[in-house]
Amino acid sequence: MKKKLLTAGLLLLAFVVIAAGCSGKSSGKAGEDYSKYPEKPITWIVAYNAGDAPDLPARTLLPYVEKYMPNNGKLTIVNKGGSGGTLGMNEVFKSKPDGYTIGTAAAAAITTLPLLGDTPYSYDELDPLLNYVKAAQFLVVPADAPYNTFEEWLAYVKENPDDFTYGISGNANAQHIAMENFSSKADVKLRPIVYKGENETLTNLLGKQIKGGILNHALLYEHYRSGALKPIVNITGVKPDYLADVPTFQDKGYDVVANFFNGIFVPAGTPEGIKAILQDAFKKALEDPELQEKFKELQLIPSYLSAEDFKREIEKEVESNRATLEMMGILQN
Amino acid sequence: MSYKRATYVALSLLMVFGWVYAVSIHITTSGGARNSSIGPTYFPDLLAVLLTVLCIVSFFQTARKKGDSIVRLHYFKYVLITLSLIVAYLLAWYYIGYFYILTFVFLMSLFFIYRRNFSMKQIAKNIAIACSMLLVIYLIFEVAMSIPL
Amino acid sequence: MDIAALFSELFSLSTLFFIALGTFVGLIIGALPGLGTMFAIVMLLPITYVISPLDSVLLLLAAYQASEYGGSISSIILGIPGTPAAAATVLDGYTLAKNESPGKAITYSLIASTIGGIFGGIVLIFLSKPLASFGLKLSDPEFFLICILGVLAVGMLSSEDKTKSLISVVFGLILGTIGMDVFTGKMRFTLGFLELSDGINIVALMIGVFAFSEILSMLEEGPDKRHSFDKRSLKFGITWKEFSGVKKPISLGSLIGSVVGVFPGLGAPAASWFGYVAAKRFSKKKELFGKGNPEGIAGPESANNATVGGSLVPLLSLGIPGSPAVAVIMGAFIIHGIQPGPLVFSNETTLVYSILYGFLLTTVAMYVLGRMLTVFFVKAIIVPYSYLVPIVLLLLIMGVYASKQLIFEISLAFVLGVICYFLKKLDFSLPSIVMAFVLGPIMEESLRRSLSLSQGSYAIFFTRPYSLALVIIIAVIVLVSLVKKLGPSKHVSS
Repeated sequence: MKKKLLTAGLLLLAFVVIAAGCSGKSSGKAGEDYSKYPEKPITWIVAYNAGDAPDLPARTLLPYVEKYMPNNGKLTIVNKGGSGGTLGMNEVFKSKPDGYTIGTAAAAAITTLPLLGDTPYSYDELDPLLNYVKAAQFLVVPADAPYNTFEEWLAYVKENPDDFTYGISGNANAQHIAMENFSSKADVKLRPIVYKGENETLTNLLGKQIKGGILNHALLYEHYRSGALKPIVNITGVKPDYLADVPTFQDKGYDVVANFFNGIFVPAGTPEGIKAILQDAFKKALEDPELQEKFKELQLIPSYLSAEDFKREIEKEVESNRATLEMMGILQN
Repeated sequence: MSYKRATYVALSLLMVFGWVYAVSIHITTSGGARNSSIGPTYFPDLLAVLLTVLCIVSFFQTARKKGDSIVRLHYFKYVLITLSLIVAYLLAWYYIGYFYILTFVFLMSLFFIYRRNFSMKQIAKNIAIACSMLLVIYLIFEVAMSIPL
Repeated sequence: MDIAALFSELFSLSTLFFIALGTFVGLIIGALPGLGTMFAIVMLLPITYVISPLDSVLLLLAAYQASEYGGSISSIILGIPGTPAAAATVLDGYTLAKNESPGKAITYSLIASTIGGIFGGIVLIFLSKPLASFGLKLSDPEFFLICILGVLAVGMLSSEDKTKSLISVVFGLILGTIGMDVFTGKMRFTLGFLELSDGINIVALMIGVFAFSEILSMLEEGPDKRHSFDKRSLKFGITWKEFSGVKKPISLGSLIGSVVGVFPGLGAPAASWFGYVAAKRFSKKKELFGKGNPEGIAGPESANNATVGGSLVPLLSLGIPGSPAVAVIMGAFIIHGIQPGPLVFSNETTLVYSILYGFLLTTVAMYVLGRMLTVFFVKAIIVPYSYLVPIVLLLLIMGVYASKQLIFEISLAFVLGVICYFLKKLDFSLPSIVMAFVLGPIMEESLRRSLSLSQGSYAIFFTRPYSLALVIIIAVIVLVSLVKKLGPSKHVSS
């Protein structure tokens, strides 16, 4: 009996040691030889549910990234949605910086939500690797509204303070921040109505429950073509083909721009060599003509930003958002 | 425990829960912009008040009821063991991982505890069922959904 | 539009195969307690990347349709809802199965589901445009009033301890407020858990409140317990007489389901409860509800399948998904480069009509496959608890994990389960908790948003025509029930 116990104990010990050893293998060795990377599939966490807006570009991009990955590298997308992308990014934040976990975040999870203090990570604790897609968002009104251009609309809201209701898809999100920023710079009084997503904004706009709404370009497309809605101003700095002549705030002289990006982030401490390999694969994928064709069909706007450029943009945004949030009374400095 | 006593305990716990809930919301939602004339504390306060009132009413209703009964927890040992096993299983899964091995152990333990039969035939049957369950889960999660376990 | 081309495309081998595949997957996943509709649709989504648009949409629709029926299988056989919308079916379905005949209970459910599904499909085909424009006219003020109606209806649900039912309702409402407040972005009772910022996951709640507590109750009957039935009771089939007994709830349920499905945000769970309540309200045998009345199966089941058709109305006419499941289906459209919306009828006429008629095919497939496969599921009721409990327990745990891969959620469901196990023993009403949980947030949000739109004025509920109508209806209902209460006592005292 004693002998059996001893053997069992030794086996257990051996098992534990081997298991511990195995998990240690992938945590980066000194010597920095990344010629074999990736040796197993890379987990690509999309911090949104299947079918949500950021899911589509990621899944479309995936096969092209694999095409340009060395060593027949493969990636697997795992959807981890919830809490505006912060749940998924939290996973990335907690993951080992071994190059086998990357995450897609849209702007909210990085440049607005962490500022509100409810995330376990702060915006600079995730390493921005690159940006791949941007979206344009427009302030849209029903087709029969009495204003057709930005100037006409501006005149209307100046004359009628607290009258223009516009729908946004979340409190203190980039849409809200941009509009509040503009309102203070243009000295007009608008009334934001908070909904739980752009679909709700769209429904209520079509039903004329609100006078305006902020919608992203893909969602707007069909309704613009059918003549039900018309865009007034582009609140971002990105101009999609079919709405290229709609002015942006900046075009009209207001320093307000919202940024809706989809970027890749990695846990802090991921080795530079691995980052370079990933960036290279993604960059080439975005330049692939077939992929560009696909993006065009799906109304996606590719927009590559290198790690340094991306980081700089994020920093700028966080500063600007922080200022506006303080002005709105949401953040106390 | 008598039915009435148990009800009193439950009602009291619910009432206290309501108060803790309402107070905590007042704490976490202070400050911030107001986007509606009804703030984030309106509904919770209303609910906490309603809960308190209803619990008190139920208290009296229960007291007035004629006759009492005993709340029986049949086979309580089994319930307790199952609950403990579940807790152990979840903790082990969270801190150690190794889902498939853990789940196998979990299932087998439950089978043996419930069946109380340790014959070879039973052991074989248990293993077969446990393994088929694991296979089904593997197929659905790893293969079809690519959800890692 | 070329009818010949439409039908040849629809009845092609590949399309029929995918409809069958979707139905099969939807049935099984729906029937496994815990997994649910979303799981089935998301699981099939990758397949849609490589097949034709028509096949993709019909594949997912078939799964959606079949899972709404499939959920009732678990409700009836195990007393554990397989999908949130099948929770109402437990009340009478499980009781009928245990006491009388599982075969009959399943039959009622399948027939009601099929008819509900077809009704939803017909509404979709013929009433899309008018319903969609009507749907746009209703907004937050009306939703708030509809929810009040719903909560009043919950009060009518339980015939046991009324006070405890109301307490259950309030408890459910409280649970519904947990999470990030939409309007201010502040956290309410999330206790620092990021996982709760979106609120308690409905899957975790349902599995906790209904399933875990039911498993613990099962344990109380002892591990050696097993149900036994004669062969007849396990068979599928009901008589014509029995069928005419459920005609009313089926009609009511189908109507309610299709209409509720049209409004984004309400969904199949709410519709199934409304269907149950309506069936009870207009039944001649109210006392039998909760004791195995087939009407209590037919009402919710026809409602939850009718919502499938209803929820496609806003998608096809406006490009707005009527439920999370439809949002995924919309994703499938977009992947194939088709934008659902007002122009889709003219741009893709053949495709849209194929989908509409294909939808009807999915209900037929559901009936056929349901009938063939349910025989196996019914046998599960005979499995001794010593095997059944661990297996179901594991499935439930995996079901919660499938929804969001967080062990946190499983623990949450577990804690809720233990609490509700005790609550159930003390005659609190678990269905009230769930229904309040579903309706509560909608109610609060729509009230606050209505006031936000009207800048604080309650007049908004009286100046809008539909709101006014609803206010009047609510007032009438409240007055009538008050009069009823006072009536008999007047009689006694004289």
